[in-house]
Amino acid sequence: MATRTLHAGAAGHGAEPRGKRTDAGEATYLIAIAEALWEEMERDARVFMLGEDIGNYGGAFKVTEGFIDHFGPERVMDTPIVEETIVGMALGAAMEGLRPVAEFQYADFMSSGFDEITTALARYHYRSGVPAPVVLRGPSGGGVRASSFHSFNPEPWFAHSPGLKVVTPAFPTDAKGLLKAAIRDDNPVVFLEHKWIYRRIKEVVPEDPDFVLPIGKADVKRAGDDITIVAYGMMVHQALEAAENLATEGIRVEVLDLRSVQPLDKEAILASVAKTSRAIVLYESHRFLGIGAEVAAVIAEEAFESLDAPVVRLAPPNVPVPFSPTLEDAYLPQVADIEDAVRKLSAW
Amino acid sequence: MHVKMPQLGETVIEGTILKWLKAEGDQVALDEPLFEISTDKVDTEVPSSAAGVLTKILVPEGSTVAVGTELAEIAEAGVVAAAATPGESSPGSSVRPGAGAGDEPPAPSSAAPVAISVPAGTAASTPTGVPVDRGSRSQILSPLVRKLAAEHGVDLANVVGTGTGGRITKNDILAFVGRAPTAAAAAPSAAPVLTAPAPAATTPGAVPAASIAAGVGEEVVAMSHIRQAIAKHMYGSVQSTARAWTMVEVNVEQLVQLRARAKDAFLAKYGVNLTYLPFVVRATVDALHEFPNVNARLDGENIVLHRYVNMGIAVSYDAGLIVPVIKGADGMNSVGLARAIADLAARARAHQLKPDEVQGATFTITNPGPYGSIASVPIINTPNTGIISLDAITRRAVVIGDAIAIRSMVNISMSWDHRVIDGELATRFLARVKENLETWDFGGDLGV
Repeated sequence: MATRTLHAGAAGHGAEPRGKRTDAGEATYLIAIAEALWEEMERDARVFMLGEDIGNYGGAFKVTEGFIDHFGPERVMDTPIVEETIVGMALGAAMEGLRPVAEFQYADFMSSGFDEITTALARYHYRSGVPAPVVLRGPSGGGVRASSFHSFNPEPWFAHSPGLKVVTPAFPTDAKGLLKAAIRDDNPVVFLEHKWIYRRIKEVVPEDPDFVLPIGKADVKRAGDDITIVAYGMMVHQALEAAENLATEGIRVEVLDLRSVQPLDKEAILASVAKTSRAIVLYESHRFLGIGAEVAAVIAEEAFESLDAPVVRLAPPNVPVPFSPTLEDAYLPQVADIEDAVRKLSAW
Repeated sequence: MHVKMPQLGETVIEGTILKWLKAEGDQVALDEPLFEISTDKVDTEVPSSAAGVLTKILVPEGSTVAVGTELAEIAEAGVVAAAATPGESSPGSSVRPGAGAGDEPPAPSSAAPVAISVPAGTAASTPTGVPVDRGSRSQILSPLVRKLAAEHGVDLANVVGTGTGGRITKNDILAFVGRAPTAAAAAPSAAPVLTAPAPAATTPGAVPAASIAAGVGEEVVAMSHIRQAIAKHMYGSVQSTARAWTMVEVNVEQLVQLRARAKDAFLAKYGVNLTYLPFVVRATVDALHEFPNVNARLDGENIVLHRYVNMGIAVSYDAGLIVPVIKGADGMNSVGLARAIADLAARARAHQLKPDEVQGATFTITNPGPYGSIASVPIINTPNTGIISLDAITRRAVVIGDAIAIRSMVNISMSWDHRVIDGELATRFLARVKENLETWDFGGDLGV
């Protein structure tokens, strides 16, 4: 495949993502993802991308801006607006030995390719013994006034489908390290970025091209002895803000960032609950049969004797994400809601 | 000697130990209160039938046993040493033979006895022998608290909970055994530091206060025995009677004026407050004799008519509702009724009624008026066939002849069992009560 000239360090259209860091060397979550894609495409010629308007347009959120200039249209492939076809193409390419990374404009639209994802892609290795190293990535989640077709959290669907890994990072470094790991993984990975985080959160991100993080390992983002909040994605940031506020009241909250919901890092969850004896599972997918249901069940089954209070789920109600800002705020767990839940559970 | 569950009232077949007032090893004097029991009828203290040392408690608090069951052993003076064996009867011992596998910690709340048939432990493991009420949730023990209590041999009766409602938290237990909270996580299996050790084998489990888990925003409160008895009785009445209801309005202007005139002198002379209830009881007693079917009970296919009036008076108190009975109310004048009502109500609220005093009513009066209701539909206090409700006396504009006047008026209503009483009888009965209250001169009856 053809490659074009690299304009290393130059900002703007056509430039390598690393050149878009701040002067302090910080990368936003979005840039960190772009860096991961860029580095893996540089590293491995079998890696290519496909998706709607990812080429000249640079993607709905401009994650792949400039990629087509560097890697060419054969590796940055615009597709028809047919998600089922995107997944089918990716699986077919993987069968032939390539390592496709498919972008979805919104994770909501993954459901248009649902059968291909959960029936064909997820089961392919089980059926044939042939690996299917496909990454499906797209922005999930709410909080950006994008209404019910552009705010969904599909992770429970895919976490429930055997054969898929589901990654849900909250920080730029995690996003970069885990996306690189996903691309190198021989299993299909649903990589759910969070659009609320894209440009809000930035940090200094490792530049080592071989920096990867293991999929399936949670991370303690804030240590505390009194109560554990298990979260992922945008909710990690809400939890951290609540934990900071609660520290002034003497409540020491531990925030455990799952980073991936499948595999679920049971060891980290159980270790934290063994320490704190109280747990809130905070998540953005619907409360009913959401990720928190599984986490709460794991704690109840395997940490029963560590518990000093019931496991609490804090999650949106079972309704579509509302468009009205007021309603969306009511729908999503807010920092104040988290603080209330922590106080209540602390006093239980 | 053996202490047995007494027969408290002819229809009582079982009783629940609410609280032991003495611990094993305590000295007990003759007639000194020994334990508290709850029956279908009443909660009461039971005095000791012997003097000596309480050597063994055989039935723990919270247990319900049949009349005649041996509850405890008292070694009378001179035989204590022979009766005592090591590890069984030493004061303060937490070993309680007879409790067996159901060995449980003390039930801290004497006001809220735990469910029937759940042995709730005794006071024997607390130094004073009297359980301390540590809050409504002090018996909710998390899995971790149970585990830590077992690991460290902690008697939970000695731990004060700082959680909501007195719940014992992880930190409470760790503080009790002298360890910092964070150390627990670091070394959960470390050898415990015992400050108040007890053999692990005798460490109690726990009694949940209620048999269901509370949902978010809910609190689960186990029904007291009294509450359960009320619930059973009320529901049973509604299920078994053909309840109908009639109300009359009564002009009590002259009664109001009479009471206003006489109450101070009445209190000075008899030592009890003069209320309207004695007048209503008197007027009702007369009507019951006039219409015996209202003063009756249904027994299979027979109607049993009472030729006497035992008047039940509904009294609310902290534990719920109780109906003490004025025996022979038809033999009393207003002064006697006032005294009887004051006495029974006071002792009901002090939990001092005797079982026989809450049995045998032939008719019942309830008196929600002081709380402001103007009409009530009471549930019949079976096996009575009727119950009268006396609601609030209010000043109202009424038409008298062709004039509008302001008079003190009251609604008196009756729920009645249509299986025995028909509408005409019920109405004539109430009309008689109304007529008595409006026309009798109660002044001479008061003697003031």
